[in-house]
Amino acid sequence: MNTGQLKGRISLNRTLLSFLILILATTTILLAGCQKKTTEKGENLVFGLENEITTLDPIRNSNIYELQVMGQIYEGLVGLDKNNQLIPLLAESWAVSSDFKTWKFRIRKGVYFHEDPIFGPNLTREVEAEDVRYSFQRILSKQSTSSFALVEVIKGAREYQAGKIQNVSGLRVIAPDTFVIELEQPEPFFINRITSPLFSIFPKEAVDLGADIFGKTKAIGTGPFRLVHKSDVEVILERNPKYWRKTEGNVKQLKFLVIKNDQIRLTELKNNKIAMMAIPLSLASAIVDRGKGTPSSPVLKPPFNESYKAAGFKTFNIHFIGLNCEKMDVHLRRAISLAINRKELTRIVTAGTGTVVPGPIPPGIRGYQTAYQDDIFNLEGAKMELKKSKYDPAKDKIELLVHEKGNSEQIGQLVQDYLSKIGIKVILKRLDFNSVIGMIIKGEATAFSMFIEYVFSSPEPMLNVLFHSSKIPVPNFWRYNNPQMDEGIETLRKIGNRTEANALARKLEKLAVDDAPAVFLYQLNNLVIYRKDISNVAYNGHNIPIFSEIAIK
Amino acid sequence: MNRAIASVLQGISLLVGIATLTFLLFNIIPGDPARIMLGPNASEESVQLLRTELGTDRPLWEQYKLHLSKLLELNLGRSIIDERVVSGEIADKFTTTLKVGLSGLTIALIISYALNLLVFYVPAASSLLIITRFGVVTPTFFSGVTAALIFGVFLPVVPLSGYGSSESTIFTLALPAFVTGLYPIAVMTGILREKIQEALNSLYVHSAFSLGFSRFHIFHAVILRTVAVSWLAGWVNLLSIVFVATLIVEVIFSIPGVGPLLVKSIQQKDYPMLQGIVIVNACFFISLSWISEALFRILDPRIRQHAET
Repeated sequence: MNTGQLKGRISLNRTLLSFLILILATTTILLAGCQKKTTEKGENLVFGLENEITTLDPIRNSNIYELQVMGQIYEGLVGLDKNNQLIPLLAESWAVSSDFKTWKFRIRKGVYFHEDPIFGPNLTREVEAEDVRYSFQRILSKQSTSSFALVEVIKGAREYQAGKIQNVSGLRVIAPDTFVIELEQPEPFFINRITSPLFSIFPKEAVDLGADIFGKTKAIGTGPFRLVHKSDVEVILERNPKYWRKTEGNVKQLKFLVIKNDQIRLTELKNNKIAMMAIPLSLASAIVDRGKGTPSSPVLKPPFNESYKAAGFKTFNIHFIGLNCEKMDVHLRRAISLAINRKELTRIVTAGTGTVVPGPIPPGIRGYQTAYQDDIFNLEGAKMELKKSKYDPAKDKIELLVHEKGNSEQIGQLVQDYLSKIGIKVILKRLDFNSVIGMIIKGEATAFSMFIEYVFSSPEPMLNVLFHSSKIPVPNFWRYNNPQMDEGIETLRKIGNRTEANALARKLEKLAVDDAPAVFLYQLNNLVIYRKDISNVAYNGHNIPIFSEIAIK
Repeated sequence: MNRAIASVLQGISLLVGIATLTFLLFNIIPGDPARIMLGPNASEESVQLLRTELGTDRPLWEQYKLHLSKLLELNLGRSIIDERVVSGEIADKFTTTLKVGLSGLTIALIISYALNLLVFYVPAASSLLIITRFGVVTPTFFSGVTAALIFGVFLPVVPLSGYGSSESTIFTLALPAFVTGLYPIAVMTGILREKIQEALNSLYVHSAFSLGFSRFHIFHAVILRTVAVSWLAGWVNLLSIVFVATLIVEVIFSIPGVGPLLVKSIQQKDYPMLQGIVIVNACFFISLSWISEALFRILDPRIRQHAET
């Protein structure tokens, strides 16, 4: 090869390299330029969701994310405001009989379903009592995931579910605007059973479209937002222009964008692709300054505090360690309850986003003041109780079931450590969530880490489902049987006065903590991070965001 | 002809075996579909009613018979969780998975070609080929998240999310496809490099150089022509690996494909959906093996001759 050829080859190589670099640079610039600018300003709000929305059919709800979207589209008879106060929605007013068994609802006039061709040329129609009856009856059907809260409460519901009767006898329309619910037993607190969007009202015409359409591509309610588009990746809602209630917010289009990976979701928040997201526990310590603020008003770490705000909301949930009362005596259960340092556990597990709650009733419920303001951790007391128990440290071991949800494994490890300090040996057994539930129901679980998200908004139904002996094996997971508790719960059925009911509930809460069928640990607050130009962010106790009140500057 | 009939029979027996195995595995996995559907708070009475409705309380052989007879009618049924038509749902999701997977493989094809061409012109650039080896040693879930962070934080030129949404563009597919293509990029670049080096030592390439052909012509008309079969064979063999990687990528980038559907069906014990996914996947892989076999026979005369003899 002569010098000329060599020079020629070097020159060719340089040209080729320059050409490749040019292509690379052009592609990068093109990609950057072509990427849609998704900055959502003004009246469009994009919320980053960590799970896909499979269905918007209220009776098929399977997770809180679906419920959060449904809460914007549908409304029930009543609901909760941001302070967890009961508010009338489709029921304008209601009255209860003196025996607390018959509830009469007057349906609000002038409320229309979201416009859709299914209603014919008028595109909509007014909500009537028959819609309420139809919806409640469907909620009580076999396939309904929300029937559990009402099936044993409403007259004729069990027979209906078993296919013995065609219609639920306890659901009656007595006038186009009057609907009556008859109960099996007195319940002055029944109204607090139906505040969740699980008990939403929908039109029969929409359901008649079939399972492939209703909940999948169509969802028609009366709420502040109506469905525009739904896929596995996003749900787009737009403000209902004919919404019956005056709202303060200015969000015109609300988009739920599914980004399952926590890190990617946070990155998309930084990239302004989404404007708001819930802070998962996995990111809490990276985003929230644990040393400052409180679970309800968290302080963000730099650089997040420059462009974002955060808020924490108390929702009706409790994380606990369930103890099988048939396998453990009361002293052993008390010893376990007293030996667990809830304050430390909550700080570690929730990265400062949880509130210590030693009782079964989460704070913030219907004016209820818990009997426990702080941890009941008492190591000496635990040792004394252990001595009184039948537990033999030389040969006994407690098997604690943990699973993949709710930081269960981490809780289990900490509990194992706390109990070892008083001489109780704990063996952790890791199973999948559904297997743990299966073992609990069969009574095979000795101890288990679990959590509850309540659909009720007053203490009475919570105490009833968790501690009444008639609720063994579910939801009385711990097989707790105490006549004193049963009697107290039955007495709650006769008390119409809220203050008196709360006072008795407090006594029963103390009884539950003292008998320790479960070690109640903490309430997890829902932390939300959002852009600084967004205000009026609020969630109610059912963990439902109130998007209709959100204002964007 | 006999070979074709044998292949079809083999495929059918494989499908029946897979259907049986899926059924058995499903019944071994702990968890009661009715309980999962209604949640831990539902009473045993309600759960039992739903079990009867779903037929999950019937004897195992009876359930198996029912599933097999439905399968013979080519009826995959409906989801027990939300009554979606299984075949429609899988077809929809499978199309997405195919798009992502094939995009990844196309990227791999282009990059492996471009890199080898570059190294052919500039041998000093061969260090670039080593970088591609990362695609082999890094698991997809790790490379996926890492790529998302790099392109999300430091080089935000492609979107990280939104594939399948109303704002979906070709750019929303870019990153998932690239991550899916990382492994095939490494393998195919390696295969091509090796074959090119073998060819470079051969007499016919030396002759081509001495005859004064341009490098471009030698690369394409002489070398690539002879190594193309091995290179494309590698590409076809990678399809099944890429398919699995795609399922992971879909979960990371929230792409509505078969991956997330599979995970959800297992979690919810949605048997009709799970069985549908397994059967469709099996059919896909069986057809893939037939296609690749036929393709090689067309492309490589040696295989054709061997089969004929």
